Amino acid sequence: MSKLLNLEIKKSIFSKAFLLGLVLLSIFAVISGVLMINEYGGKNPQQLYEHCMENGKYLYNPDFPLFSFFNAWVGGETTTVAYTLFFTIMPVCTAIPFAWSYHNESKNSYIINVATRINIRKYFIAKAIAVFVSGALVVFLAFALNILIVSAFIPYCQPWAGYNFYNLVYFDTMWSDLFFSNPYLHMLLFILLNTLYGGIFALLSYVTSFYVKKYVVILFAPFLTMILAGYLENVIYNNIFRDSMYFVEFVPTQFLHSRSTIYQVMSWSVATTTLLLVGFIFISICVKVRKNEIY
Amino acid sequence: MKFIKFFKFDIRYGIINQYKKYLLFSFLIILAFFEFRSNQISSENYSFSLMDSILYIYGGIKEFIPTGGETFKIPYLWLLNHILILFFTLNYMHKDLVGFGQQTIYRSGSRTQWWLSKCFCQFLSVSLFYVISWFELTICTWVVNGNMSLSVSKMMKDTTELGVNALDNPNWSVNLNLLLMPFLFTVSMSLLQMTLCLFVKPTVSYVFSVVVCILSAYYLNPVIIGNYAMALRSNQLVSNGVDINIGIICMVILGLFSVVIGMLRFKKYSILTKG
Amino acid sequence: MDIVFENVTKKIGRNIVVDNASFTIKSNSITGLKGINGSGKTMIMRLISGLIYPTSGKVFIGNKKLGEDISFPDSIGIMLENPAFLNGYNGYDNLRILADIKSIINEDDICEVMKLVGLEESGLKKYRKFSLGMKQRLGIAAAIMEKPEILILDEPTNSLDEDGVEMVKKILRQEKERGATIVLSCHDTQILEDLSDEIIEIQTGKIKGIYAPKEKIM
Repeated sequence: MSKLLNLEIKKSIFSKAFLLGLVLLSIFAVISGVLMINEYGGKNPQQLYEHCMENGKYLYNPDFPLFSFFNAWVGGETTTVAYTLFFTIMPVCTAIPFAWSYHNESKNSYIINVATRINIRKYFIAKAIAVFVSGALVVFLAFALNILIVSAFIPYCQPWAGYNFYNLVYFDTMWSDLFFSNPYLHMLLFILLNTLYGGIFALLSYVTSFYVKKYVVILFAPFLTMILAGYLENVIYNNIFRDSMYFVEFVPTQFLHSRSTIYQVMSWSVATTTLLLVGFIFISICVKVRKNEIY
Repeated sequence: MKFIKFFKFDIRYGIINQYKKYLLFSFLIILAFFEFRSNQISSENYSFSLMDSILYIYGGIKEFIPTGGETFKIPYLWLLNHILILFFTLNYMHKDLVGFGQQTIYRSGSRTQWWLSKCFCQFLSVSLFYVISWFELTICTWVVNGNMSLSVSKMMKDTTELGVNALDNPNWSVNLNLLLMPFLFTVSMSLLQMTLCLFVKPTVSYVFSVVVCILSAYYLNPVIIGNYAMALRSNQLVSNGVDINIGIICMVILGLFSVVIGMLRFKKYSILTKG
Repeated sequence: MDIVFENVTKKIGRNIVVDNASFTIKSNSITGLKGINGSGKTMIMRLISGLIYPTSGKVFIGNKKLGEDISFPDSIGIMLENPAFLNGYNGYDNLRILADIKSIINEDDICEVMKLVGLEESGLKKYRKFSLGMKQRLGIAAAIMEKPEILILDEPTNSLDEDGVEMVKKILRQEKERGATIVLSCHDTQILEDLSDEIIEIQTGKIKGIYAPKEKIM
């Protein structure tokens, strides 16, 4: 099993498809970084500090915490179109590396070669792990690239709770206390969450290939599902629960961003969505593994 | 004559046999209509027209101006309409070229005819999506006793906060904007997408289309052609809007350009993939 | 009509799949392409059929240059690798759809060719239910049904039983008698030597030799 797993992971990572998925997602990560650096304008904090003062007195608030790294990385900025594209296209970019591999291998009968050498259940499980790893790695590396670029130009500054309206981190939002007390940990947790979801999106494509035999449908199923889910969420909130004052975000491509974009991001909604998706993936793989048939 | 035979084959196999896609799309339109209807009931004003529902589904969003505290909200309905059609029309040409199309193309003796047939099929397919959409909205409006007129009602103007007089008296140019522009946008993008498939993988081509749609929603800019597909961004309805006359010209040119570039590329294209 | 290759090279990406090939295939003959897997036989067939064009050099079909004067040979039947058909239709319907393009044959011709390839009854099944051998036979039927002047068959005996192989041999002889120019590849050297008037040997995209069976010319 370990040899098979090793082989599948190598196939998933050392391939042109992985590079394509990574490059596509990284384009938006880089564009976001560049646009934020441009907006920041290379402001030197010392110059900003001096600019706000006259005769030893402050003319106006330099607002340092508003222009810090924590509001400029792709998971924290809210001003450019690049972050929207980054999170919207993420399901596709994570599926491109390896999610289609089962579909290809069953189509060209490679799977028969595997079945004669190892228990086919192990094949499905090893492939699921490899798909998860490739999807997660694409997201992680794209984030890493963005953070490297942004942190080279924009300084770190502790967020201030008084600016919660501008930061779009509200007091009952998921991990908001961390954002103001330990923003590094806040950022790290969101990166880990995104990495997890990178794997989940890729696995969604993978399990789609159990039911669907068309390549483009397999690749774009999670992406289209997220868009459709976003629309249905709006429909439900605007029509069924329109009298409620409290709307919670359930769509992953919205809550993966560390700022509240449309609805409130709560820990329980994130956990519920994650459990549902993981449950669906797990059950699909179990059913497939149990059937143990290749046709 | 062979072109007509190609075209008949493409209609049969590329459109009629793909009826499930049209069914799926029609469900979306029905859902969108009932969401629109539900919104109208909630405002306790039942007087809405057919054009209201078209504006609701195809109107897009007003200009987004990024300010502190406000984030960009994806116009899901507008986006879904376009990206679903683009998705459904993404793969037919490529799939045919890899498969049965290899059998038909050499019999025709003409790569150009094969390509032009695919372009016409693409145009027809997108047209059918829009015809289904308009037909469904008409039927739905009639069923719920809505106003069948082609003018936008006062309530809709208030809801969308347009504040212009352009919709007070129905005129053909406003209706043209609402009906024709989204259609032209989808046609030109689907042709461009199909041409791009000759240069890059269909996956990348579709991602490009989605990016164009999202960029169009984000930026009010006459260069990004999706803006012409949003009535709420036209200069008929907002003062700094895009000119639909320029939009029509741009989209027609884009569509024709895609066809011509595709034709030139396909003339020398290596049909390599196995059947 | 003669098929002439003049210094034809084809590159795909960075790979040279056909390297400076020059030869002439005489009309009304059977020419066999011989070589190991990956030697370039299928690429040469694709170059003749017009599905791909040379990176450099010229391919002439009669007096017409492929890729300039004509996109495809005027009258050609092709069976390359795994031919593709429409899954939702049976064998007959698939051939009808293809025959409708040129409209030079009728229903009787289709029935006759289905009988010739041994799919008279099993051709009524939907294509998705065809076995590999049946798919191969249907591919051959599609290639020969319109009685083309040029016939390209890439390993036509693959997946066929003994009767199938004899059927292919019989068809090739009949087609040659009719006046077709046939280009054939096959891994069975015996079949190639039995049928071919001339054999072109290919190695890593290069023409290694051209000879009539049992003697070398070049």
